[in-house]
Amino acid sequence: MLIISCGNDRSKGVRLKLNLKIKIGKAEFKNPVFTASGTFGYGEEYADVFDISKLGAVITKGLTLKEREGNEGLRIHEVPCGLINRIGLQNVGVDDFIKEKTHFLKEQNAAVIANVAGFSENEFYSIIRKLEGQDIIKGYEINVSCPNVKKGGIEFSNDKTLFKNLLKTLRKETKKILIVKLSPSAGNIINFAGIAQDEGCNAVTVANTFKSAVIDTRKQKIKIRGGLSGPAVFPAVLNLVLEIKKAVKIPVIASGGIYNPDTAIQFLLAGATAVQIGTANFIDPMISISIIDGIKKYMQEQKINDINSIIGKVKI
Amino acid sequence: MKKILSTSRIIENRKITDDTFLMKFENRNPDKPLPGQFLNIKFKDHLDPFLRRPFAVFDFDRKTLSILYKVVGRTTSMLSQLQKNDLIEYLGFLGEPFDRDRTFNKLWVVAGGIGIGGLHLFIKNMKQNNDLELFIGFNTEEEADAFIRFLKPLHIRINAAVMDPKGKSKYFKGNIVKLLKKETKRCDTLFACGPELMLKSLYSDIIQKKRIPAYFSMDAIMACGIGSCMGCTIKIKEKGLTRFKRVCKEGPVFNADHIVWE
Ligand SMILES: Cc1cc2nc3c(=O)[nH]c(=O)nc-3n(C[C@H](O)[C@H](O)[C@H](O)COP(=O)(O)OP(=O)(O)OC[C@H]3O[C@@H](n4cnc5c(N)ncnc54)[C@H](O)[C@@H]3O)c2cc1C
Ligand SMILES: Cc1cc2nc3c(=O)[nH]c(=O)nc-3n(C[C@H](O)[C@H](O)[C@H](O)COP(=O)(O)O)c2cc1C
Ligand code: FES
Repeated sequence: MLIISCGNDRSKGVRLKLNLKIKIGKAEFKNPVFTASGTFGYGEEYADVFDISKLGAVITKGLTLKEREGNEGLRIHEVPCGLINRIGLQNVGVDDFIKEKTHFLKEQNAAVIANVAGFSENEFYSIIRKLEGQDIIKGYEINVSCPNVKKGGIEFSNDKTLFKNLLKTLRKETKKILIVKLSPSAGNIINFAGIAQDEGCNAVTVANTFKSAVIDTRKQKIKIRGGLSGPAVFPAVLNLVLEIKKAVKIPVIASGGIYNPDTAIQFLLAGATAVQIGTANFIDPMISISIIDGIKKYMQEQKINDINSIIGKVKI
Repeated sequence: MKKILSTSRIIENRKITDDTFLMKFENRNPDKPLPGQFLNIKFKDHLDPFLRRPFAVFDFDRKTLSILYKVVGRTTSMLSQLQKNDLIEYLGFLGEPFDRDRTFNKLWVVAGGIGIGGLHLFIKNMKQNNDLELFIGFNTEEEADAFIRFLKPLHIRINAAVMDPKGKSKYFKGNIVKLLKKETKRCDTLFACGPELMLKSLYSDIIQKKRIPAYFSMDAIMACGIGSCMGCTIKIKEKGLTRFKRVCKEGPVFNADHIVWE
């Protein structure tokens, strides 16, 4: 599958020599535009749309130890400028991911971060052990924030001791970069970011989806409960990035509501070292490329040659 | 097959019945769409409605594509307001098509009203080499009249059922499954597209009882339309296992015997 875009305006023309490279821990990424877990599959579908090696990184769908079928019933529901999902981590499982997906990602020359979704400390540990030997994986994004499974993951975002012990165990297990994806719906997110820093994590992702619900007024019943994403959450996540950036020194990766270059640039200015494109992929499959181009255009206009010089320029 | 993301100019947006429209717009795909495939459509530069919406390719030629759509909500109502030269964005062609490489002695195609949108291209492809009959269900007599006039260029045998005819009607009174139940002949294979309830009763009352091989084009709320979000899944039995399959990627066409009806 190849997608050709017709009639869209994508900026070209390089005047300043630009540096878009960023670093998280020891890992270098060619630019700060990543694709968010669960919105980009394992890269296959979009590899037909554009050259995915152009992305800073592809973050995989949340991987569990065993394959998961996901939730029954309605899984997605549109709200004004947003999407509520309750997929329930349908994924191929870590073994099939290694067997069937890594080869393709390698061929595509993609930079890959594995999103790891365990239901217990032991599961997180076992998944990472299996992935350690895969050169293609640059690091792990630990998903302790999925609101769509009955138990597991998100419990770690509500319990500081569980959270701390988990990160301690995982840190010992890997020298690759370790990123923790925080939940915006759990207690005090700033404290959790602090714990992540203390336990040697290389970055925090701010944030997963917001717990949300919709009621069907005719049936007088819950229509859907799940995680809210999309442009509707952008200003709330931007504020979280500003607050967390003030509290911790480790890099913040922003995820929530980006839908154009401007929203991505706002996150960078607020202190995000990298940004993740999520729900917007569904609206425009080429959006990540438009955003990389838009960031370049902004740098040209603002006469900025190094992206790192604008990261965190705006503070609270 | 190449998938194209295109901003296309509307050539025509014609009313077929009170709430059904045929929209023609520029075709930018070098390949031909296969019967059963669909487009994921949105308005140019709009964030509201937020998600794209799937519509079957109704027909095509080298320069144009068309969809036949029924106004049921916000997107379809906004689509119906668009005029010649307005722009829409489509992503396509998506999904796996109907099996059109075999010939059948007797082929039945069953549409629940607007379900004809997903079957029209298939009928056009198959009518030459197959003994093909269309069964189609409507709510009102006016709707049936308008559709039958509209489908005349297909030159096929059409059996229509109307749920709610006024007085003495030229159409069969009742739903399409009831009409098919009375049919004494049988077919080799049946292809259908329509509301889930219709497909469900078509399956339990006809397909299962008469053991007719059948393929259904299924509906689902979609987000990405290309297989990456896992939002559009339905339950499919496969090699003794039940799994969630994506309507946008493994579907929309499924073997009716494999579908798990809730
Ligand atoms: C593969 C595929 C092909 C399709 N082809 C056609 C076609 O050729 N012509 C046509 O008229 N329609 C077709 N549809 C259905 C069409 O996508 C929906 O009618 C449309 O998305 C409704 O959008 P709306 O914003 O107008 O309605 P909304 O305001 O979103 O919803 C109105 C009502 O329709 C329901 N609904 C919305 N989307 C869907 C959906 N995808 N499936 C089932 N119910 C839905 C909602 O739950 C609600 O009850 C197809 C669907 C699929 C999955
Ligand atoms: C359909 C869907 C599936 C998702 N699956 C995952 C997942 O498996 N793991 C995860 O950490 N986040 C998952 N997310 C959350 C996204 O990665 C992202 O953090 C969130 O959607 C907010 O960003 P956005 O507003 O740009 O989409 C999912 C989101 C959506 C919409
Ligand atoms: S709509 Fe996203 S997987 Fe089908």
